[in-house]
Amino acid sequence: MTATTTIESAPMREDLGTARITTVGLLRSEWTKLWSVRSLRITLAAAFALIIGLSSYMIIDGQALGSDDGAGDVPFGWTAVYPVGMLVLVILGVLAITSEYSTGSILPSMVAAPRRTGVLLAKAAVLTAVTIVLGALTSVLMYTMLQIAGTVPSARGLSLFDPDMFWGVLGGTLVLPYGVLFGLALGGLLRNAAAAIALYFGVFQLGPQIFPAFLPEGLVGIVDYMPLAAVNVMRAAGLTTEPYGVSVAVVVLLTWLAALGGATWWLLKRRDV
Amino acid sequence: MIDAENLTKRYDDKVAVDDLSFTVRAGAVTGFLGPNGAGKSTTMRMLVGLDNPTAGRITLGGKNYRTLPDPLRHVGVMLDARAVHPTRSAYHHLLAVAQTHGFPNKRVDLVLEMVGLASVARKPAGGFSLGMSQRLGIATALLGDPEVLVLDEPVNGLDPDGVLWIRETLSDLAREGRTVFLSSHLMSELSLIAEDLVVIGQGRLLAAGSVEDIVSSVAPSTAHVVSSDAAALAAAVQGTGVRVTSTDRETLVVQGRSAREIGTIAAAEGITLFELTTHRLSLEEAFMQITRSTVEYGIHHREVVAA
Repeated sequence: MTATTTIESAPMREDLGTARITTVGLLRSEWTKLWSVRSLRITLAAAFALIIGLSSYMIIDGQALGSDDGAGDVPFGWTAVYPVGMLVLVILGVLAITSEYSTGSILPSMVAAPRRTGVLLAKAAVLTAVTIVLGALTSVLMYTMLQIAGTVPSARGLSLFDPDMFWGVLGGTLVLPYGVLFGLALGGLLRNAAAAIALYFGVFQLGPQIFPAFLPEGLVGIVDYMPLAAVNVMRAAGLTTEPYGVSVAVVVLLTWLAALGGATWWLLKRRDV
Repeated sequence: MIDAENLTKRYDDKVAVDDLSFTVRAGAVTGFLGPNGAGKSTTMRMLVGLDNPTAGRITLGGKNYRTLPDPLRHVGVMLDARAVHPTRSAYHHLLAVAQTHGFPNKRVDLVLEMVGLASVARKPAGGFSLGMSQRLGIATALLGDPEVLVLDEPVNGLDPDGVLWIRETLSDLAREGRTVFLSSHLMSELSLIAEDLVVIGQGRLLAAGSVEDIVSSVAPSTAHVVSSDAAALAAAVQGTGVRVTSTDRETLVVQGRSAREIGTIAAAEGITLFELTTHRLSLEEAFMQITRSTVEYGIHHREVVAA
């Protein structure tokens, strides 16, 4: 590093001739951003390590998933630990956007793509794709382990694509991208990791247990329409219809995401960076 | 090239930029001068669409930055050299920016080479010194090979080596015909590189034009004369637009006459001169003069309002 280094050659003009902001470009940029920050990689790895670790334990142990003598035998029972991984993925979603604000790297991001919408959508798409792919691989791995271990009677010899197995595994796996998108929306809304994570735990994680104590009798049912309640319905894949069925649960989940994501997008477009 | 028209930015009750209008010529280096907190950064942020103006607009030859399909091809900007993720490498920082526009990866290598960071490209940007961060900031600004460069306080806090590097780099870029718009609170720094100046204070335009015009408009040069008969000389040099003040028995400060004129008059009058020097207002003094007048104006204004 000396003071004598100066611009060595005129930049190549012809090289960049037709370059412009594209959807593919924004996706590649967000992909680079995700994998080039260690804390994000670690958070992602932690989420799946936790899921694989806890699921493996349950599958090998077998007791918790219903043994030969017990009831409550659910073929896809191991997906009950997925919400734990989802929590970590909520944090990943939060960090993916709030780390840009806290480090100031949001400035080059917004200068490079000043319309902003594309950046948010690309970030959401990359995080969703990564968690869906890793989630699917994890689920296939766990299913295979379940077949080898043979500890769950109802799952023995059951194809992954058997309706009794498939919908439960799908519902459980989709919880993972849902978590990361939910975190992204909250993080984008508050632009501060601590605030977003506190809001998630305070309102969405603990809220269903706390709120009923403060709500008037007639309104207690509201907590059934919070995301976590709907997540549980979706994971059950039709085994429970309380308080509503899977299709309603999906509508509830998408409504939350659309509302929070929409607010995040609206503010991103209008607020000063 | 850059046009600000009645640009205004208000935060709650504070006015950061107040009805600012100016133009930055294409192909010239324009200094954006003002004390800290004058509204320079806010103006630059509005130029690249980070902040929305409360009123008025700032455009690139009439085009709004946010509507450009390829903004980095037009404007390269460094607002805060430290605005990088500290654990991301310099290479990946640049790559993520380059990919938005589909610039080839070798463009990233090239700009790293240009600013002399190639050897530390894979190191986390958080470990960079301020000087290295500034280089990375310049590299980011150069990615799209833009015709306009906007740099906020590029030499602030740099050591002499870093200052020299930035100065040489900006001169090179200007020589390539690029429009350079850079801010500073140091007149002396800008005077070394800028041809034009836009001077603001408290968000308002104080002066705009070439460096020379601005300096000479603030105060004409003065002549410092030491002679054997100051009183006689003072009487002899009088004329319209001439102001003579004496600091001691032998010394005069003359405004409105050149040293050549004073020397000629003294010779004609037979007055012996011991010293005759022209004192030009330094850039820093000119700047102080301009900003002081706004402060005075501000105080005066408040008094009027109070009365």
